[in-house]
Amino acid sequence: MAGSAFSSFDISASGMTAERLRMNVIAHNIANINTTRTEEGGPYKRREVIFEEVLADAQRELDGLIGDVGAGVRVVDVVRDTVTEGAKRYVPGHPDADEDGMVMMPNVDPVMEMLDMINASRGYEANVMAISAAKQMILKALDI
Amino acid sequence: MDKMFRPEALDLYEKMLDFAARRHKVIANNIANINTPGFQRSDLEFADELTRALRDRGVAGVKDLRLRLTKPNTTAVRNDGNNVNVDVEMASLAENAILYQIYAQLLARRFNQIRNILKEA
Repeated sequence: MAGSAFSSFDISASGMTAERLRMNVIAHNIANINTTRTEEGGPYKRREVIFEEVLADAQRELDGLIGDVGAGVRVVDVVRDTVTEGAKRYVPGHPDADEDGMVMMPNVDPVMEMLDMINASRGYEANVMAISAAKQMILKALDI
Repeated sequence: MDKMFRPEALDLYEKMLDFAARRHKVIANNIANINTPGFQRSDLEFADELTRALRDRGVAGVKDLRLRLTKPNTTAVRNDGNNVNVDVEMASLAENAILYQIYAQLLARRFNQIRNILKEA
């Protein structure tokens, strides 16, 4: 499919998939903004997605094009953010409180998550625009 | 009469359509990687190369023109090492789509001319 007219759809779709997954992770972070218990113990740790560029295979030389041709993006990993410190809250009656009555809260920052959400949503829209431009072009080619 | 059917002009339009389709892929890839840390945008500037090939060697020069993918560093690099600017990409996207439609229109007109001549003959 590398030389096909429709392969630009795959490129944009990979971008949409990646941004959508990122959006899911952000939703997960926001949903767990007050979670003090997790399977691994301790408060919830915010997740971060890692994007990586995908390069097209050797097909490009045959296509009469020189250089590294990109083929989209992929999510290689979703990692826990263990560096950022969560806040401590004084709730002496809480079962997860320590002897001083402090409860460790998740390191999710709502402002940061909102910014990431806008970013992901704009990225998604940009990919949709690229698909509709490609659609226009292909439909125009049908007029020949 | 020979000139009217000269397949060279058709070759040229075909090549231009092909280049525009390729450039679209490059722009789509930039947009897909808008949030990839360290990604450097690439571009396929074919207008200048095409003009040069046409001027120097005519349509024959266009036929075996090999395009080079460039990594222009004209846009600002963000904190994450990515230099994709959504406005630049959207503008290139629109420009390229319109160019493609112009080439398609030119090709369609050429075919129409030939069709008309055949009808009149």
